[in-house]
Amino acid sequence: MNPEALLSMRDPLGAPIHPLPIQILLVVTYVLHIFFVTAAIGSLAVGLYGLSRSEENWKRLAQVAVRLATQATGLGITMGIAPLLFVQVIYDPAWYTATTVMGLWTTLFIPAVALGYLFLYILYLRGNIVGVGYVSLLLLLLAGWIMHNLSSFGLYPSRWVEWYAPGGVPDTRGVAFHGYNLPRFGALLFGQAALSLGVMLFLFAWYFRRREDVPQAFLAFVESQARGALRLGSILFGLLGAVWAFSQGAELGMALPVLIVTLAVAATFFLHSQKASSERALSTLGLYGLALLVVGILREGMRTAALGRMGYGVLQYPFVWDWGSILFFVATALAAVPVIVYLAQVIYASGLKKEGADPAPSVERFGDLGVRLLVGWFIFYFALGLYVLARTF
Amino acid sequence: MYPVWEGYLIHSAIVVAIIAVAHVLFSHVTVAATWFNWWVERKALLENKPYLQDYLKASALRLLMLAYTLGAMFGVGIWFSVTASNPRGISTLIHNFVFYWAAEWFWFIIDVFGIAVYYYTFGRVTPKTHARIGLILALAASGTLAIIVGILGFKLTPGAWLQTGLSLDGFYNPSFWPMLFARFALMFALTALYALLVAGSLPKDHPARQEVIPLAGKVGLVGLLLGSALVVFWYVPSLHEHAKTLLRIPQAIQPVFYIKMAAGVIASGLVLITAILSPKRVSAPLGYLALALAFLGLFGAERTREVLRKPDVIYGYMGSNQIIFAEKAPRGIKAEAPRLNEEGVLQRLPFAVAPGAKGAGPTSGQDPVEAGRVLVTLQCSSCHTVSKNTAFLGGLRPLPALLKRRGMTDAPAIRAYLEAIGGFPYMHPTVGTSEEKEYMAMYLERLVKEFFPELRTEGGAK
Repeated sequence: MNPEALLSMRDPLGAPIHPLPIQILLVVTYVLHIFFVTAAIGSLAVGLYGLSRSEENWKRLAQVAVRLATQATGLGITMGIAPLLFVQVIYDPAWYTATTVMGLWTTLFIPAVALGYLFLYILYLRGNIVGVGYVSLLLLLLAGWIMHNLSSFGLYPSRWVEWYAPGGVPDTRGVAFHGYNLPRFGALLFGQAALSLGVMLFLFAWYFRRREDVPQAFLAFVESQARGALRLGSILFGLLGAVWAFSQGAELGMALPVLIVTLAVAATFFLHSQKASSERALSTLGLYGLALLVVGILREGMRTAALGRMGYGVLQYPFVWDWGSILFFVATALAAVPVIVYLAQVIYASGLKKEGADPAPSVERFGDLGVRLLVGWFIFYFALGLYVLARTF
Repeated sequence: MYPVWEGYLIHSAIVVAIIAVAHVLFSHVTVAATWFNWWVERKALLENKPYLQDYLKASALRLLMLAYTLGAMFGVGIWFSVTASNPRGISTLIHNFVFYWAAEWFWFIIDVFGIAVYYYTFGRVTPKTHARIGLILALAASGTLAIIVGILGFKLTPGAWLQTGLSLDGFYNPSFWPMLFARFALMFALTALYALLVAGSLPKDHPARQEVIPLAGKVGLVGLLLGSALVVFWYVPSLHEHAKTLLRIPQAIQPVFYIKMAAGVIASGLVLITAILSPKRVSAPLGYLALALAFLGLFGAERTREVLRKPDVIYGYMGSNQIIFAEKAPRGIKAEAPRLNEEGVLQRLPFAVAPGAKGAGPTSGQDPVEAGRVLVTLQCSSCHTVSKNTAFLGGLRPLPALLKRRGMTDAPAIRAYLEAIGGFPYMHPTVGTSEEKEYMAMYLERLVKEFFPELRTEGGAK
């Protein structure tokens, strides 16, 4: 693979907007995605551990964790759609080469997630079939492993042709894994899973702190487990991150940035775990969001640097301003985001009391506005279509 | 051009088809079910029939577990499978419609988050608030349909986009309006079958069962009749002449496709009529059976729609082999075929084969048959089985069987055939230099004899 060939693989249509906004959207949506994915893995792992313990607190925590895992899996997949979109717009040569060379695994990714999710739901509904929980965990880890390979593959353009056609003979079955780095996988999945779990447990304890039917002793237990998860996560992330820095980081000439970021995140959460509490769960969430953002930027930095060495300047990606599509996106965001906020307010309010509770009247009015916004979106959608139709004729 | 993934055991196009139809089934059930359930919930409120809540809860749990999340997952699954099997095709869609898909992502979030809120707030918020969540779900689910229809229709009827290159022209394309309304109507038939399945699983004497089954029958039958009429009298006439020609060619659309579609429609219709006339005969197993038959019909319909744009993946722009053929492509893009014919495929494409390696062909003084394999894989494998890698259960339109059937079993005859296929309405001319076409013929001869050893003769290719 030479630089000219790499550049020639970009889609001739170009991006519909300057690549910088796409790059920013890619990182931000990746953060949302990886938070829910790692929260799902962490919750499921602790849920399975809890099911093996006889203490009442552990049993109760196991139920909570499995329920968290089911919802986080659904949201993780949904959130993953956005970074998946944006990566294909400005990193198409890397992404499409990876997905075709590992074609079998690319297509097995979703069946693995879907089956894992189904088994997880069975565990949630039945509560006592631990075996399906372990199968679910294995399937979700397989999916994570596949995605890790697809992502890491793109960092090694100089090896793509040899990976696809070892000895010059193409292998079109797509059965082999390429480009993986175990420490990176471990840090970004297991390290972050423990950290995400800690954050989620703090949020759980914070949310239920005023519910009279939830024993305070249980919440204190959850809080202590949250601290432990943060501690474990920071140690895992730091140790694996250091190995990642001296393996893939060194290969790509980025050992120092990887080392600094991973150790900084690890140290921050190790220290934070000493003083974190459920009362300040939102601060912990904010801090964690920031950490994930920094890690997301590091990942993009590695990709940019690796491809940049082959003459692939991501910010030089050709583009046209496609105003129609930008208008469509912005209009949809304006209609949808308030509705998502409304739904969050309803679920938040309904859980504040054992028997459920209505949101405040102002929230209800906000809900009415949300419905009007959605109806308004359809008016916009049809009007735009009629405008295009009229223009075509 | 990217590396080629043929598939493993199962041909990549079949993988795409299976995942796509599963997605269509789940997602279509979801969209209409939200409207149906909203209607039932309002009925429960306005007519004071709290027992209908039992149906709604049972329906919502299945939607939460299966339709929403699996629907969304299989939607992403289509994406992954299409990416692996035809990366440049999906790349065209992504680079045109990334913000439309990103807009749809907002609806996905509302769907997946919203159904969880809907399910977990049964009895925990006022009925009015709960019904509003139901309405939000219905609107957002319809939003996903509204967006994907534009992108799906674009592949077959890109319309003015071929001249302007503007995404709005491609989105609101000539088949957009009929497909939008036909799909919206037909999904009520699917939802009705799903409602029969859910209501049929309630106890026999449950009042919700007795009330929902005939209601679902009526809604579904109207959807089925209206949707079918829209397909026949609006959608099909809106297609371009090329697609209409392919509809009449059995080599393109095999008669079995029509049989599957008819079976799906008739079976669905009969079950829905039974639900109206004799609701007591309807049970959950019947619902499962009806959905399975509807799946068969959907498979036929979706495959037919996919085949109608042959030989292209984006009609009039890019061939199924991922080569841009358009002579007047949008945004000043040049057709790639002429250059490849002149300079050679092996010289131009980074993943054709590693330079100087064993399979690099006579340019490096080595194995022309292996070079032919690369060229055949590049150009033919998106629609045909071209090696034993994907020959499971006969493969997909397997080239060795096809060549044998037509008596093309040696390289000179195959070479002549390769020159002729550009004359078929569902094939593009083979691309490459004359020498490269020779290599392709040599590989195909080896392939035929690999599959049919009885054709081997002394001195023939092994």
